[in-house]
Amino acid sequence: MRSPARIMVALVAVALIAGGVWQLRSATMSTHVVTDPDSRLAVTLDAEARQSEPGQSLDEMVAAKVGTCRLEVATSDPVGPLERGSDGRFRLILQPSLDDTDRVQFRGCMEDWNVDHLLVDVVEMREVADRG
Amino acid sequence: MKKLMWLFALGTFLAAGVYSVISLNRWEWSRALYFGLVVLVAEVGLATGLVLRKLDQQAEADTDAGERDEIRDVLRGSRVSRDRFRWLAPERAASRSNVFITMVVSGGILLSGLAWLLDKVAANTTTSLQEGRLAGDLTRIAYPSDGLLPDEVTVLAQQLPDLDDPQLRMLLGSDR
Repeated sequence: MRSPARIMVALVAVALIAGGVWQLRSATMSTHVVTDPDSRLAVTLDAEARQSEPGQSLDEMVAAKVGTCRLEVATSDPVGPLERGSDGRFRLILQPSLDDTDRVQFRGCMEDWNVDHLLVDVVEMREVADRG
Repeated sequence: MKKLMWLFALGTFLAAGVYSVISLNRWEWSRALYFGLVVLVAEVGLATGLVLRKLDQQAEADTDAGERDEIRDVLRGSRVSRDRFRWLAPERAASRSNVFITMVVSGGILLSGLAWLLDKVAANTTTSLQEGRLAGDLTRIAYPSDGLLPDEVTVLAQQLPDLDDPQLRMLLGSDR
């Protein structure tokens, strides 16, 4: 016969797991909204390569990763080249801008371990004014 | 040390699980897969450790079980006695003939063995060299090859007047 305390602990554990699964489901569910075609999103990246292959530059590794992750969100095209600032950070502009779900997906893709020897940290994603 | 290993495995399991959920939440699928693999490895290790610990506990419980001890005592009591010299015990004096027969048979075996040993030793005391010497000694005291009867020359010599040989007379029987 199980004690009431153990039954309570089991119930709380089940409730926590169920709540966590529900929250995870909500967080990973794609809910897209239509964005303004003229909206633009400035992304700032901090990248670091460790023990990369000879002949591979950090710039081309970051460019390859941006290309891959742009396909992940599938809607935005980079405007202009991938620029590297004096502080060593990379900046790019996506147009149209990304909705909340796409931003999470894009950040997750950029910070994921899907390119060997490359670690990228998305420092900032902010809306910028239209070109006009 | 064992407790430390348990803590390490449990910590790895929990940390990897938390990071796996966080990575899923951030849409970092590669990281989530990696941490999920670590969770799986830690889980297998923990499960194996738990099963082995349970088996050890079960073995110890079996060893301590009183019922098992009783059955073991019964089995030990049903064994054939291993006291192979019980027949020599004083309380079995009524059947001492067993001892007598045993002693006679054993004594016979021992004496036979001793006789066999003596025979072997004695057989090895004669060598071809010793036999040759013995043959030489015996040749000296052997009877003459032509017998002990006097020849004609000796008989005729007896007729000589000056001959006084007692041995020859004894041989010819002329003393009588």
